[in-house]
Order: sequence, then C-alpha cells, then structure tokens
Amino acid sequence: MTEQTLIIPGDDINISEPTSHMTLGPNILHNIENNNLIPTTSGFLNVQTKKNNTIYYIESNTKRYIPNVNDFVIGTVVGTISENYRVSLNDFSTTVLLNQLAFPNATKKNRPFLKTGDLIYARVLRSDPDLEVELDCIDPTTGKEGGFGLLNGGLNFNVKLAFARYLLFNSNAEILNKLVSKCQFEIAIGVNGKIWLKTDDLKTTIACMTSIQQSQNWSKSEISNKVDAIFKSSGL
Amino acid sequence: MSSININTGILEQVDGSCIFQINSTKIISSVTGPIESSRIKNEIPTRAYLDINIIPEKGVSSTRESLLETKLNKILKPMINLNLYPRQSIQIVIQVLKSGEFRDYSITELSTIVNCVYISLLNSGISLKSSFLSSCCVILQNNEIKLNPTIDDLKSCKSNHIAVFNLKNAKTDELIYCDSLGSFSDDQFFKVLNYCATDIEHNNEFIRKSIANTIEKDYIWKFQ
Repeated sequence: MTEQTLIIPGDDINISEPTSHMTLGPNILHNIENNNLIPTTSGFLNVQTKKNNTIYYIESNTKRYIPNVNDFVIGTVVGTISENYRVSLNDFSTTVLLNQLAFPNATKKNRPFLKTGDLIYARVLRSDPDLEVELDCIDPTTGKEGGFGLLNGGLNFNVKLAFARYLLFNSNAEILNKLVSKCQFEIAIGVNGKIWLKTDDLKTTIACMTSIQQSQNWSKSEISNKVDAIFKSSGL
Repeated sequence: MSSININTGILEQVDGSCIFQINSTKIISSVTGPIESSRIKNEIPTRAYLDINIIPEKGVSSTRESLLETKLNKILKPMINLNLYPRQSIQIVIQVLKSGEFRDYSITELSTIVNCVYISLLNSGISLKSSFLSSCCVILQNNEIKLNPTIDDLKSCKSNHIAVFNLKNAKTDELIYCDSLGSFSDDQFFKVLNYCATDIEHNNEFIRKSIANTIEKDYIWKFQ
C-alpha cells in the first residue's frame, strides 16, 4: 500500500493503522515526550505497510547528499592520507575515506593505485555523524568487484538527488529507455546526485547528458519528442 | 492587504534559495549546508554552526546588519535540528534587494528575512523542528494597530513590533521571538501579538500553496 500526501514541518502525521512494528525513514523524527512523529522537511509523505511493519518516510528532492550505509555513490579522489584515499561526494561537504585495501583481492603489495581527480564508484560502508564516513569498492554479497571501482574516461555531471534515486532504482526509467534506442552508452548512477556517462564519441556524450539533465523538468509524455529534438540539433 | 511574491530554487550553485517580496520589501536568500566548516573554531562537537551573512541594500554591512544577524541566529537556532549535523556548518546568505524602510528601522526587513530564510531552508532540505513565520506591525498615533507598515507609518508611529510564531497544523502555536520599540501598554502588546498571529495564519495559506507548487515542479518527471 502506498499513498502520497504533501506535508511540511509542524504538520501532524496520522498513524492510521497501528501495527506492531514501525520503521521511520528519512526526514521523520520521533518525539519521545508525546509519542508523536515530526516531519522535518517539506515533501511527499510515504506510508507503506508490509505484513506487521509500517514504514514512514518523506520523499524530498534536494541537492546535498548526506551519506547512509549501503548507498551507491560516485566520488572524486581528492587526496591520500596514510592508508586511505580522501574522496569528495559533494562539493564543499566533509570528505569521506576509502581504504586502499577496500578493493577486491587487494593486499599490501598488490593494490589499485588511484590518482587525485580519479572518479570511483563505491558503496558507503559506515556512516555515523560523529565518525568519519567510510567507503568500499567490494560487493558485500559476492566479495567481488560487482561494478565498483575506478571509472575510466567518460563524463561526470550532477542531477538532483530524488531524480538520481529514481534512475538508479528503476532500471526501466523512461529517459534511459529512450536513450538506449538512440545510442550505446555506459552509465553509473550515484545516489549522491552524480551520474557518470561514457559513449563512443563526444557529440553523443553531450547529447545524452543534456537529455538526462533536462529531463528533470519534463513530464514522462514529453521525453520522446524532446530527446529526438536534442539529438537532431546536435546532428546525430 | 499584503501582496506576497515567492520564487523558490532560483540559484543553481547553492542547496536552497528563495526570493521573497511582501509589499515594498524584497529579499533574496540562499542556504548551503551541511558543509565542512571553513574555520576550525566554527567546528562545534555536538551541533552545526550557523554562519549567517546579511548584505544591505546599499553600501557595506554595518552594526545594523550585525544586530540583525544576531537576532536571526536567535530565531533560527531553536527551529533547526542542529544536533543532526555535528561539526558541520550551515551557511545562510541574505541580500536585501528592496529595504522598504529607512536605516533607522529594521522590522519589515527582519520579518521578510525570517520568512525568506524559512522557505530557503525548506528548499535546501535541512531538518527543521517546525514551520515558522513572521509578521510586523506598528501602533499609530491614534492607537490603531497597522500591519505591514509603510515608510510613513514607521516615521509617525508610537511603537513598532515584530513577532515570530511557529506553526502547528497551519495554526500559530508558540511565540518564538518578539521585539518592540517605542511606548505601549500591556493590553496593546497582547493585541499586537494577536494581530500578528492572525496575519501569519493568513499569509501561511498562500505560502503553503507556493511550497506545494515548488514540490510538484520538483517531481514533474514522475508524472505522465
């Protein structure tokens, strides 16, 4: 069961069907004094009931990413500190750590060498507001590479966070389906609002980037025509 | 009647931004955060640091702007869940576009700044404890209370007042902040607070609609 209503801070959240378990997701806090749920930002309230558990969270489209465990992110290496790389997930945010041994089959003698400015696709391993956030490049289920690691070549650009989540969790998102019919490309989507894209030539790369960035302001029915227009105007 | 104009998310490079115009006062504000503190002394172990900058309509910042920054800090601190972002800082920059009053006064500016920053904070997704809005008014020579004073009202009034309330389910709940200048009686003061509370509830209807519009525009890619 999914329902969506608009909510802003200070509104009451109605607990309509009390179930034995309740899970609070992003943007909702619990007030222990009067046992109320407090929305902390404006957005759509999502209530999902699964068996005995009700999940409450507020879906909100923002620009700054705050790390959460098991998120897939794209980061830029900005430096090295002893055995760790410093990785930036967001401009001006506190940088996070990536251990040099947090790669599949990495040993003291045999480990991947990353330079400042390299792009990596990684998973958030630990995130505690009081400690430094840590990343790793190992698939936790198989212990293998699983698509993580250095992103070679290509182009990196930003989109808003909710849009990035939508693209990552819906593999048949309309805009991606449309682009697949237009050209061949490799794509990596990070929930920190960064998208990495690689195609065979520059013109196609730029056309794909413009399409994805601008599709944030299009409704689903507009996508087909507008992508066609962008590819046509770049002579493809 | 006050005419309000809101434009949200106009700045690309910051996390949240808003232009707020009410009558002849116009403010643009931006919110960036939580970001890494630029100075080590601004790193507070248990909560985020609020870095507020107010830039006046004309000239450079003076003691008047510093006073406004201190007042705004006092209003915002209990409204933001600062403990969620330890050692980080939240940068709030406010540029006055149209002051709508002389430099000797600051009530219409401060009340518009509070409303403007509130919408910028929502736009940036920073965790808030509650909604809050502000209103200002003057008591004229004939003891009449007038909301949204003009330049002439401020010049000739007996006293001027500003009040910030938090909102619970679109109704004013608690008084967050109030500031008065001039001579007035107890009765008049309570009356002023009531007037401001009603004005805030009235303005909230429009502001809420505008927030809803922004959110729907943010999620346009979800709709057919």
